[in-house]
Amino acid sequence: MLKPLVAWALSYRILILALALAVAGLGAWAFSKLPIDAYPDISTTQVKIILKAPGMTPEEVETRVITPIEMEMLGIPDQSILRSTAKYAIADITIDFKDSTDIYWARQQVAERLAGVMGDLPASVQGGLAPISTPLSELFMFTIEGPQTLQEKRTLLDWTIRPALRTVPGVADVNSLGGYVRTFEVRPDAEAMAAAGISIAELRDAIESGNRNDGSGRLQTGEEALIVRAVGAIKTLDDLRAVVLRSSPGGILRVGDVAQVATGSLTRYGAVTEKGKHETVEGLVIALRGADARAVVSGVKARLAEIERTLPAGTHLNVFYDRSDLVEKAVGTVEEALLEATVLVVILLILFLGDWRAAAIVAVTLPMAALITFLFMRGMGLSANLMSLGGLAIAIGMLVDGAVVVVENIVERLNHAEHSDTPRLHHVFKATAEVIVPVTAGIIIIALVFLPLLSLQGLEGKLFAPVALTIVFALAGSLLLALTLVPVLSSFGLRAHSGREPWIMRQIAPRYERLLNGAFARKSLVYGLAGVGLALAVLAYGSVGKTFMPTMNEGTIVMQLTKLPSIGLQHSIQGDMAAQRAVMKAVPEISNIISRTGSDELGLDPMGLNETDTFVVLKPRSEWTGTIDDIVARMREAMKDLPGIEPSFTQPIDMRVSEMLTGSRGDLAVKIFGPDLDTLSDLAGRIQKTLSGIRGASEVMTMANDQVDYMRIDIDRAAAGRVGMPVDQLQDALRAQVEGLHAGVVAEGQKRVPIVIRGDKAIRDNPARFTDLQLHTPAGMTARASDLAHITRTEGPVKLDHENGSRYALVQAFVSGRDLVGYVDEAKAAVAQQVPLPPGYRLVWGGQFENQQRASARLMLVVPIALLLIFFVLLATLRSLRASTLILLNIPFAMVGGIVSLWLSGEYLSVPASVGFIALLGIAVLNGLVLVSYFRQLRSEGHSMAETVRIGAERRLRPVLMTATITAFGLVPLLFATGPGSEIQRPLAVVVIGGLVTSTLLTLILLPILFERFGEGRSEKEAFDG
Amino acid sequence: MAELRVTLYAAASDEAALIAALRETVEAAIHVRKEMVHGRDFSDASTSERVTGTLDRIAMEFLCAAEQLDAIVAAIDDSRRSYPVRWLATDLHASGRLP
Repeated sequence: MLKPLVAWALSYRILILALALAVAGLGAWAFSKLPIDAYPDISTTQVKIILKAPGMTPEEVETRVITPIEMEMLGIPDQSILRSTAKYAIADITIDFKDSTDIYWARQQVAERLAGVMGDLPASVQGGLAPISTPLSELFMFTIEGPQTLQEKRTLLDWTIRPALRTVPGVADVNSLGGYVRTFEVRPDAEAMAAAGISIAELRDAIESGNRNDGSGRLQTGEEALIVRAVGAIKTLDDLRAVVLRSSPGGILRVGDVAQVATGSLTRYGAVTEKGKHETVEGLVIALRGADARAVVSGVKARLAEIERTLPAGTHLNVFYDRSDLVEKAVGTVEEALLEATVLVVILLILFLGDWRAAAIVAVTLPMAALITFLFMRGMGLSANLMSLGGLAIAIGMLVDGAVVVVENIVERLNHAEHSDTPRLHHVFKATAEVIVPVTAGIIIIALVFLPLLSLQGLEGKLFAPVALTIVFALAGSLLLALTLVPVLSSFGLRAHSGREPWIMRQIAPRYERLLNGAFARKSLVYGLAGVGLALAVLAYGSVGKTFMPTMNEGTIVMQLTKLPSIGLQHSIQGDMAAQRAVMKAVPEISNIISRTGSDELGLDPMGLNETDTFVVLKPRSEWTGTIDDIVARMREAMKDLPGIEPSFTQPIDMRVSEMLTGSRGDLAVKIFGPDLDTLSDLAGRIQKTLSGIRGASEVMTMANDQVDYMRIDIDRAAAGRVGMPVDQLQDALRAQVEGLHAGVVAEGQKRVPIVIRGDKAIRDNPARFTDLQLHTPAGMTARASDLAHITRTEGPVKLDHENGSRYALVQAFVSGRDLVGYVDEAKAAVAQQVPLPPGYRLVWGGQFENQQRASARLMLVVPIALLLIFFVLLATLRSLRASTLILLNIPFAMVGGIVSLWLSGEYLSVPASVGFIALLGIAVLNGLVLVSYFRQLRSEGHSMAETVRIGAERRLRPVLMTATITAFGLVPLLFATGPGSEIQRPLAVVVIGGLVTSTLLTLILLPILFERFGEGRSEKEAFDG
Repeated sequence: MAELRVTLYAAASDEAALIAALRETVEAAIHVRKEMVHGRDFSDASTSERVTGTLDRIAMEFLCAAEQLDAIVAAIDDSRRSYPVRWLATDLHASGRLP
């Protein structure tokens, strides 16, 4: 099948060149159209329900909102996890589906069931499904700077900027944070209300019914029709004051008679502060799942530039997080590495081939294979990101292997056929056809070793499937090129020459010959050294730390602050600003610092008032005095002077990925499942203490022990009944005083300003006045709240977490300066010893650690399967069981260098390092195949075994060295890259480069010795020796 | 009247074109056989034949009167073929048909 392809290509050379140009053009177009992001789409199929339950405590949210929804959602098919969190006034329910589930189907299922259960929830509960976003969706953040008040800025954001940005393609929503949402506030005068006999419910009903514009239909006047419009909507504060509550012969009672009407603001659930100086308003652009991050940011920037021209004088937008910076840096890191690797590979090709024409022809395959890969990527819907482009960078050395073998053989043949009458094209065809089998087998072997990556699950699967796919695409492209374009270009470009070895081979070959002779003379020493190498590798394996993934430096630090759970918003804001001032003073590298406290408007990140995410924007790297770790250390040190504020450090994407996977933040998340809150709190506290004492724990925290102060109002049914106050109306009246009660909206053009009935600030800030509040009952009587209920001060939980319907308490740990697996192993042993679990309680160890365990388990299963497949390919190529087995036995020796280099470099054995070992495995097998297949060819030509192993090794020295050095040098740029994302590629480069050193040495020295001894069975030996 | 045996060596792909041209002037049966030619003279070869190193040829044989030869050669020359044709004519000493 492949020979006719080569013949066809050589028969239609101009067509092939034209096709190559067309493919190159299409590839370039595909690259320009590929969605670009820092990471691949790592989101699970996840549907989030965010409900706001104004004024409700976590326990009420759990009982009245979450439990009925959970009961309804638990039966949805293809569901993997159902997680819920009940916080003050917020219910956050997350449903994870199996990976292959269609997100729109999943949302429909959830929406249908939610619609069914919404009727059973309290009337004040509002909300629904969160936008289709992912942990990578938060891609642009800005604050509004200018002379306006916070309320004006918030109005500008909500009603000018947000609607404009929502129309940008790829934008799911724009989250508004901070400032004050303007309201028309009706502050009832309790005494006046009581004197007039008006209840809160009556006040709300009157406002709602007195606020409407409507049409009445058409009136016929002669030949014309008049459209009738009845105008009664409230437009101003005076309109609101004039709303009539009651009419009697004595006069009419208006809203203004029993309440103060003024401009106010909604109850704040959070705030944004900046540079330790002031509060501000933040806009956060959320992209749709699968959107092209760079294109979305570019669209947002263009729209903001238009909007900025229309903003009030002196107002501007201060962008403090722009994902396109990270995307460009991350993709730029890989692109730079690709370019440098290409240059290195071309230099090596010229050195090894000694013929610039041959080197140029081989080098053409690099950009061409890359362009074909981009075409495949576009076809498969893959985005260009750190991982997919990284796959290309990893493969770069392997892409030229096929072309090198073809070109080398063509040169060889042309040299021998210089004076032959046979057409030159025929020589090119014969030379290509001769190496079709080894080239194809070699590329299939390399592709096979990467296939196990496609079987990885979870986060590691989403991260490394693009790597494997890109490599397989690139290899497929390189094979196609090696069999078509390379022979065509060779037929045009290659010239027969003297056949003199290139300079580098003239230097290496004699030395190798001496080394090989020495090795054959001292076989025991070679076996011994190989054994020592293996032993060293086993020792090094024990010493190398294991972790899931190196942390990518996103260039932005997020400092998460946790304060006392009972803290009020104002004090929380003051704490945030004090923290900002402290770290800005201690770390001059900080250019901007923005904190958001509490919950956002959409409820996508429902933090408590005591929780703060602080975005730290750093100056350009050239202005730093240390590394990012030094900066974090100085920030941590500065925070020690602020008691009551616990900092932890992460990065924007890292933080969201952790939240998506486990519903929590941190490298390690220990979930304690059980029914009783107090027991869970106790266990969480003890586990937190145990984990804190283990080396490597930078921050260990739990909210399970945190309590907030409650004013508990136990309604006395008898007392309430005596004054004719139903329980629900009493609760509504109390909520109206503090949280506020919505009573419609005022339409101001496109703006919608809520009307809120809310108690005076003096009452809200004074618990005694609140409990003494006089309330009018439907029975026409007046009573104080304290008369109708027992009021006590007590404590209650900050939040309640559920997973699959079961309560759990969470302990989170951040690990630094140590490998995660080592920490977790020690932690598990310590917890098992020090924290016995009562019956009915169980622990689940999750977080990044869980991913590492799952990836290891999966690779242990699928790598042997891949090895078996490789064995079959070897068997089909060599048709010898012994030779195939011998090549596979070469693999452990190849791993020696990889493990030792990891150990020496201080890198951990992570998933990228495992990918390095996988690549190494393929190259080791390929080199073994190159050598052994030539040994067998020499044997079939009648050479003795002793001659075969020496001649074969010497003649195959060049291809083996070329494969190894080109692959190794192709990865050198990744070893020294410093941009974002380089952290992920470096362990892989370390493993492959280190491994190639030992693998090549062993292939060139140990394999000939082993082949001489074990390469042939008796029957094969007799057949060859005649 | 002298009779000749004419043999044409042509590219296999030109078979239909040559037969169409010969039918105008040759009354005798035209025998066609496929031939795989190995050799060093690739001057008549197509690109794909140069690539594979083998000439995919046909040989056409027929009998004709000696005075017809020029017309036949002219017809072949004018035919809608793609590749060169080599021809040779040999005198026919005797021929016959045995039922």
